[in-house]
Amino acid sequence: MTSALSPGVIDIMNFLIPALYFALLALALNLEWGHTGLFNAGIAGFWAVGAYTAAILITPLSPASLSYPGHIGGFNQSFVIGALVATVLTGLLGLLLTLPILRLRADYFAIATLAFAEIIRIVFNSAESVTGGSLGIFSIPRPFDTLLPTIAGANVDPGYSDLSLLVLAGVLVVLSLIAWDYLTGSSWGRVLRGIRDDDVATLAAGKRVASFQLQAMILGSALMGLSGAVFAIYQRVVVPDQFEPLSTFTIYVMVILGGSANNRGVIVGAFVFYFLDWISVRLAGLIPSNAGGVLGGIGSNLVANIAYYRLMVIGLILILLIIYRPQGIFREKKHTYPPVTGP
Amino acid sequence: MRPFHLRVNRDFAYAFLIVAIVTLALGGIYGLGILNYLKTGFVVGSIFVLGATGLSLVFSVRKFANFAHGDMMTFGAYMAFLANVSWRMNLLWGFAFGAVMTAVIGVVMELLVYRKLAGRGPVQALVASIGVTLILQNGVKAYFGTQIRNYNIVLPQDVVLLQLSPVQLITINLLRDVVPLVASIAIIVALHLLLTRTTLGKAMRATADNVDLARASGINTRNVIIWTWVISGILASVAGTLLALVTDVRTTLGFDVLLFLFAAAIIGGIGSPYGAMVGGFLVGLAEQLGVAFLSWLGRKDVLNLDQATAYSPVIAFAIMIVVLIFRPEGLAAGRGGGIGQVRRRLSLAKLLHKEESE
Amino acid sequence: MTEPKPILRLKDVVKSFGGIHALDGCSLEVQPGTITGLIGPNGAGKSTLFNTIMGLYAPDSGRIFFEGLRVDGRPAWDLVRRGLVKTFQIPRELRELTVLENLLLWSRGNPGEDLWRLVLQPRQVKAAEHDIQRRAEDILRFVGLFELRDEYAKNLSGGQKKILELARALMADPTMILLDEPVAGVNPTLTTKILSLIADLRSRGKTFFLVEHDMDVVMGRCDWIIVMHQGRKLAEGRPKEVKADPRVVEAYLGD
Repeated sequence: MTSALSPGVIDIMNFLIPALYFALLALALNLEWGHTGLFNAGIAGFWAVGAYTAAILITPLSPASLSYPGHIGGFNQSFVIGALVATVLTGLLGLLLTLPILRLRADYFAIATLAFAEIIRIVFNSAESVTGGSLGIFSIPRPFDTLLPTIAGANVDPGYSDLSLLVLAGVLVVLSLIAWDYLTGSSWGRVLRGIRDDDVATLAAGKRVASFQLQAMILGSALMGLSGAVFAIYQRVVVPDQFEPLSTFTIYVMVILGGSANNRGVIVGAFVFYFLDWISVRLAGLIPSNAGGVLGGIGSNLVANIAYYRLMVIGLILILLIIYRPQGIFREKKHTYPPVTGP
Repeated sequence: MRPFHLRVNRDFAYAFLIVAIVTLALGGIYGLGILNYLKTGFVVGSIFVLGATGLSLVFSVRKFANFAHGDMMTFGAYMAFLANVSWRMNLLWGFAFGAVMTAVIGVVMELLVYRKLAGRGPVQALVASIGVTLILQNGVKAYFGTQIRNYNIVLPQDVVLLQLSPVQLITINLLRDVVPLVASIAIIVALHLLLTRTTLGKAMRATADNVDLARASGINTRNVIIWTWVISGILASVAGTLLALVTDVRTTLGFDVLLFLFAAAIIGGIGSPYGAMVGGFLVGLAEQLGVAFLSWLGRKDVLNLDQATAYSPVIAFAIMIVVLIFRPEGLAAGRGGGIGQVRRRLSLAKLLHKEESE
Repeated sequence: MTEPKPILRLKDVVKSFGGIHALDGCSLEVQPGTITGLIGPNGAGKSTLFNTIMGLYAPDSGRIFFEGLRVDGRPAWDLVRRGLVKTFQIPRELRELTVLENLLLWSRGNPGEDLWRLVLQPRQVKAAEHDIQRRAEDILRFVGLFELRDEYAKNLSGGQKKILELARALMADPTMILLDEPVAGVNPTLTTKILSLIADLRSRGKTFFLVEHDMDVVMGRCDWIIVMHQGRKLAEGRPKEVKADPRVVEAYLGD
């Protein structure tokens, strides 16, 4: 059944929703790296755990067959439960994985977390009867699939499913931003920034640096898990290939672009960056590929390779940013306090 | 830490002892069939040696982990492909062409990117190298396409060394096994001679030890760094081409092995090219023995695990993480401690003890 | 008359790096309520001593007692918790934080740093933070940094950063402070002010153990001086005694 909503609106929703769950990932990384200095290169792994956990809890059982290895499931939980468990589980995983590698220098920490993410991806790809192997888990239901018909009757416009998801994702981002602003602006957040600037000095200030680092990682991973759950129901499918290191790198571009340690900035970074993604495909299609001559050649080459050109541009942006404006577009906000002892 | 000096120390001895024990244990399961895995382990290991050494050289002189190293390998392999398949030249020319082009890329990146980030710490250069890797990998994909290809070369037949049974053979292939091993060893020897006998090599070692001191003693450190990139590029390209020779020409060739290269460099002692040499073989052997072990583990009469051998990277990565945690300087450094150990974790015993007073 | 127990006691502490024994069986005592100076030629091990006492280095062997309880091997945050604080010889300001924030971070027992209390007890947290901010502002006014309180710490001059080091240490309201060259590079007026503050705090029961190369400061302001040489205590005594001690003179000359 086709939607009564115009294709333009649906298109925009399909831009906004991914931008929103990427914004959650950017916020999470902002806490871990932007505020605490922990170079977590394993974002894709945490995202995957969140997505798969939600998928397994929500999706009805798909039986194994000749072409599909099957997956565990059949818990038939609601999205709320699935997302909650995904968030908590991923947060716990963040704690477990970070604990042994806390003392590592930033670049070694990056290598270790990258290895963790790859291990997770390999496990999801290979544990076939558990996770569906390389085919993943599909037919993930959205909470609105059953909800909307009960409210609006059987012939509900399918576009409303996307709209509901947009609202859900939007609400999650707003709530997360509020929470994040409160946390990062607090004395607790100040300790994180102290650790980022000089962990030895912060230790000498009497702070249990390792404990704070773990807290940041737990919260960050939990938010990544939540983002994964939203991702799962949006895509309706989770496959291991979506969780390659490339996804991790793109979040770094978003955070560096928007301005590390600036919560609103990284959300803007997520939107700007994903917009690049989204629009490059559409622009490529504008140049007619069936026109003759050079134009057609460029056109068809563009369409075929736009994904690669876009990634090359992203690489270039990353290099330019880190050389010329490593603090990003938006500066870190200076934390000032009105004086309590008079002017 | 003296990065360029290899001490034969206990940790390396233990590591190889463990490898030997594991091999013997697996030999109990596979019989002499384990030799095939050993052989592949050495071959793959020799390629890892080349890759990890290039990585370590850049790390020791420029002090950062070059995430683009894998895709420099891919780039070299594809340049060789260009020469060998598109231009129909002998693959040896392909090796040479790939080496030159990759060296050029390395130098260009140094001049345009990494030089500007000198002194800003290891993280920024790492991030920049991620940008480089995106450009290289996707440039290759855009130009060559993502189909899997092979070099234009006549593959000699496998030579049977041992016939254990009608179906089980210990074989060796001149091109796929001997060439990588011999090439790697030759290059390593050449590199060792370069590092120890030539002025450049000594300058490289001095720069790696202390760049300010080296500059103050009159060494042109900028040139040294450029030459390091040249050598690293050559190593990466040869490693990539050899890997493509042994497997196939794929756009993800280098990036897929990047973590293995880091594992080799870290286990051997990051910043130490000699450590990377030993680390490369260790990782190659660990990976192949891991495949053998998992293959047995996944059998229906053991654990009945699907896709058991797909988990073999996990073994190599786990070893790397363990080394990172307990011996961050790598095995080459021997017993660690000293200035690096700023904090010591409270032991559980201390926590449980009553406060000791005077 | 009973001897007061030392507030800090080291017994045979050894710390080496590579093959070098920075601390080579160091034993010493610091009495509470004193300004005790630590002097010695370069390389005597003074900074290593402070770092080891503070828990930034773990000693290879030996024992360290603070207020009678054993602390060797304990991490730095634990020492601060027990009331011992150290300043760094080369200031380690938190660069991307403001001057005020630097001080706020050095407060002990701030409930706003506890995640649970931050979320569950926001009103108590706010009240506590108010008091902490007042203390911080008072200290800043005293050392003359109040006008710069919203400036990023990285933008301070060298002398101002040194003052920040001291201000932060005071913020932690410790029982004892290890001062590593607290007035090097500080202008004379402020130096006098700081030294007066130290004397005043000492009369209120705080203990100071300070490394300083300015002999006027050391001789004029310290109650007691310990001389270190080659990783162990060489001599100790009142300033006049130490100045006249031939071993001390020889150690400095022979360096």
